[in-house]
Amino acid sequence: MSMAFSTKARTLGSLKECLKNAIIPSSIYFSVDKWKNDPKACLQNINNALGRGPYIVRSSSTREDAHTSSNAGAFLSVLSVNHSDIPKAVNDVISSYGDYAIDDEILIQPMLMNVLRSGVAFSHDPQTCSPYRIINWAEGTDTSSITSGCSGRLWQQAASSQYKSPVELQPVIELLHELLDIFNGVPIDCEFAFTQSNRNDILWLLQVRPLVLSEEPESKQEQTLRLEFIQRKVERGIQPHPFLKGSRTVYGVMPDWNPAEIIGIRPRPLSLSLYRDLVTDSIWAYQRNNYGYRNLRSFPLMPNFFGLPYIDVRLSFNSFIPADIDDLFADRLVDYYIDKLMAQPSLHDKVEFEIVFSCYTLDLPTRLKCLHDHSFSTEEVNAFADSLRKLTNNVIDSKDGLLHADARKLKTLMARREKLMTSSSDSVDKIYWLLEDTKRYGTLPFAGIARAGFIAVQMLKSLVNLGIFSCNEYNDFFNSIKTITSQMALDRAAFDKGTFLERYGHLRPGTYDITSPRYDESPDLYFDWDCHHEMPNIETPFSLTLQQMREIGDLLDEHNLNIDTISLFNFIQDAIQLRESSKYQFTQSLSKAMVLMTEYGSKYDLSPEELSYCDLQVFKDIHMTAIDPKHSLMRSIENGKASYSQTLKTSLPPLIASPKDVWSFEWPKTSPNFITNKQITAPVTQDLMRDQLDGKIVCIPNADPGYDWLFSCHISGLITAWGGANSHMAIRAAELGLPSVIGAGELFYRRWSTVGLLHIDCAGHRVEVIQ
Amino acid sequence: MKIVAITQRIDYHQSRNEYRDALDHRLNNFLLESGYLPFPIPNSLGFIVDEFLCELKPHAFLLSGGNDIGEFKIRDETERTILKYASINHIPVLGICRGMQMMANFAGVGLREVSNHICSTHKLSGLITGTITCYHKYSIDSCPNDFSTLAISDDGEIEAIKHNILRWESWMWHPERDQFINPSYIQRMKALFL
Repeated sequence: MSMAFSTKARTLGSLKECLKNAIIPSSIYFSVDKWKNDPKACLQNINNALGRGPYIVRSSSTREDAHTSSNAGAFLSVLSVNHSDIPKAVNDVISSYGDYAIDDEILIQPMLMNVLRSGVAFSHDPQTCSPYRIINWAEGTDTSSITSGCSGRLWQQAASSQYKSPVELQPVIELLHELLDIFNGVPIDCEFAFTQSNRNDILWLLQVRPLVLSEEPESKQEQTLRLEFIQRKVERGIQPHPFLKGSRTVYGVMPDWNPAEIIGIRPRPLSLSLYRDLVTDSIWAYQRNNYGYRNLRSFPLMPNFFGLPYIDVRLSFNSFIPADIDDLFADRLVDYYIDKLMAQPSLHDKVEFEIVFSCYTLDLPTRLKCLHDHSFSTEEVNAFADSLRKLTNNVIDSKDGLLHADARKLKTLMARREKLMTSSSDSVDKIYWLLEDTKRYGTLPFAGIARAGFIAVQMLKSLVNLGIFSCNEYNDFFNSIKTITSQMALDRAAFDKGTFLERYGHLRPGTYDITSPRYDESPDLYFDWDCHHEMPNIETPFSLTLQQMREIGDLLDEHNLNIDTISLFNFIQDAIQLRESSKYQFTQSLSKAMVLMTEYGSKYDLSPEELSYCDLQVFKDIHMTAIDPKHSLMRSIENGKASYSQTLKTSLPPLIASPKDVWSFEWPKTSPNFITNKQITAPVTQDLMRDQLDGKIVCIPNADPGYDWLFSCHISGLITAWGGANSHMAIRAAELGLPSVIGAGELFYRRWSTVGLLHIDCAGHRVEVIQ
Repeated sequence: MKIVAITQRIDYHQSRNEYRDALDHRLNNFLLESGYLPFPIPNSLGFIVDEFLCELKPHAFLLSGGNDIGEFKIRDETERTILKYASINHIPVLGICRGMQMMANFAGVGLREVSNHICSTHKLSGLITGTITCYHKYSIDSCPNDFSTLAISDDGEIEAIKHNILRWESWMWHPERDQFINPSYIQRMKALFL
């Protein structure tokens, strides 16, 4: 039996006779016109057909379904309506139509009793327009919880997934497939509920309408072909590897050099290739090895699945094991780490804090105790602690420490950039050398310094854990550190536009994104130059009590750390400051290279938008080889566009642990990082128009340092989908005391970013949708 | 053979005081030659146009020419319901002459009177090229949102448009009126109705 969607509420009625996988409640529908002319007859009809109630009164406007503009859910539904209240409910629904059309209708159904779970199911993913079956549901009796904006749970599976959904959702998947059959493949959006009677779950179909997509969906076959490639890649990747410890791996978008936060989960090809070249192909492993960890050289850290970048977590965990740990122990340790992550997947953006032991801290012996419960012997654990101590000593040493060696490299970067930019080299040569130098004297030392910064923060936290520092003292110490970003706030107040842009003009939101304008390319987009800035007061001096100095000194001796108290605090301060300034330095070279690429592209009439699709390799080829540059660029762009269109159609979970996750998965509820302990209620915006941000909670999927300009706009709060506890934005928001939710996760982000008004209670780790 | 539902023009016969639906035989032949079964839709269905379509389940629609918009309200309403139905069920639509005006009107674009497009030949430029004979008093004002322009006449009128997502397309000229039907138009229609 095949059917077409009626332009009226009749669809449910006609389905009633043929639908096999669900029951459709009796329903009555009438046009607004009919209600206005003869409400008595309408009421009589309801009484005759549906009994005495209670009822549910729903909107059914063709304006909800028309292809050109979707208004799905824009209109009202009224629940639990008694017979006497029907006129009011109907009129409320009609007023939610605004200017109603003659054929707008009202749909009335009996209210379902004993509802177990209910929700909304889509046959296609509205974001990728691909045939992913998506079920958003909540357990419990309230059938409106999903439609009215509760986040609930989210299940997703590919059209031809061989892997079954959870048993309780299986009937909904079958229902979706039946509806697709009936409506000749037109994408479906439906509401469903399960009730219980005689211990059987009964599935009800409450509403069905065509799903409006922004483009024609790809076929099931195309999707299957692509997912099979990804499945095979994952199957190969998770096998044991002769050069790696640990018997399996998982792939994640957030661990370690978290691509979700830095370049986003669907970066353009140029972004992706730049990040690979500058960090994740080889630099990452050189740095870890230099700092005394295992040698992972030549292992690319970040594979991608049709353009969706993932961190190979086994590689990351291998690289956090000190080089002198013996192989057998390392093997078990990596397996232990991975098991721990799989047991608590929400830790995926906090692996360095919560899962691996990568440096010595004053509370390490206590933290290592959990290893005893996993069949590691006392000798092994002690040897591990010794080796972490040795490694940490090498980093924090005030004279020959690795930190200062790395800091010196950044001076070389600046000197060489100066020399290169004033030379007569052509732009292709400059691009090549800017990027080569960015690696050798930029991202490599930055990666090292960031590691030292991490050790510094861990040290400080261990003082809190041991009760030597209070949480407030911890925060005070952070606030006393003058970093390049706090300097920027000062300079913004102190300098005029020209001087300020000379210093900070190279920054851009999306450090690796050529389409994002630099501060100096679009100064008015980011800053309000007319607004006079108060000199921010960020000088809060910090001092230790004599008692604290003594206690810390004793602890350092007791733990055999070769550093005194003052030097330790110098190290902590240096590491944090240098982390910021080294990032600033290497992004300056990178940003310059992207400016030259843009200029080079414009010679051949190629816009930054088009260049964002090319692969970095093409610039290397043009540098090295005598070839037709325009032809090469255009071919690379064409390839990039073709592969990026596949990227846009692919949707994968944030953590892939087995081949089946490629096909079907539940979106994990992540545990977002709440910054500050404040509470805030404010309107929400995703639209980054500078003059409209005042007092708003700003939502951005992933925020890298280039979004720092946001902080000069008097925003009330910040929500990001991606970002770890120690991400740049988390640190900056904490610095400024801006109530923020960093790394809300896909599911929450989608929900929160699209509402009108939010209440964020950071202390309570709670976000409430007000409107 | 797949059914293509065609809308009809309304003619008023004063001598008998009758409104009649009418269809040019050449339009039926155009569809038959392309391998489709033409099925005319009455203009007198009123509120049950929708039910009629749900029962008929046509493979595609052809909005025919004749009558200006506003001349017969029931025809306008019938065609509007058809477009709504086609939009939510992803059904292909080809508009011819008035059909194109109707499609543009549905998408929120106005019409504008033009003088030199009645029985006159024009050269096309754009994605569709060639020489056409026009029989229209009105042109569409601009290309509607979510549509692209396929062809422009030598004097700058939009002569063909297509929807960017839906399989909807419209031509201002009458391919069926040529003595020998241009096979490229048949091919275009078949690609659209696929």
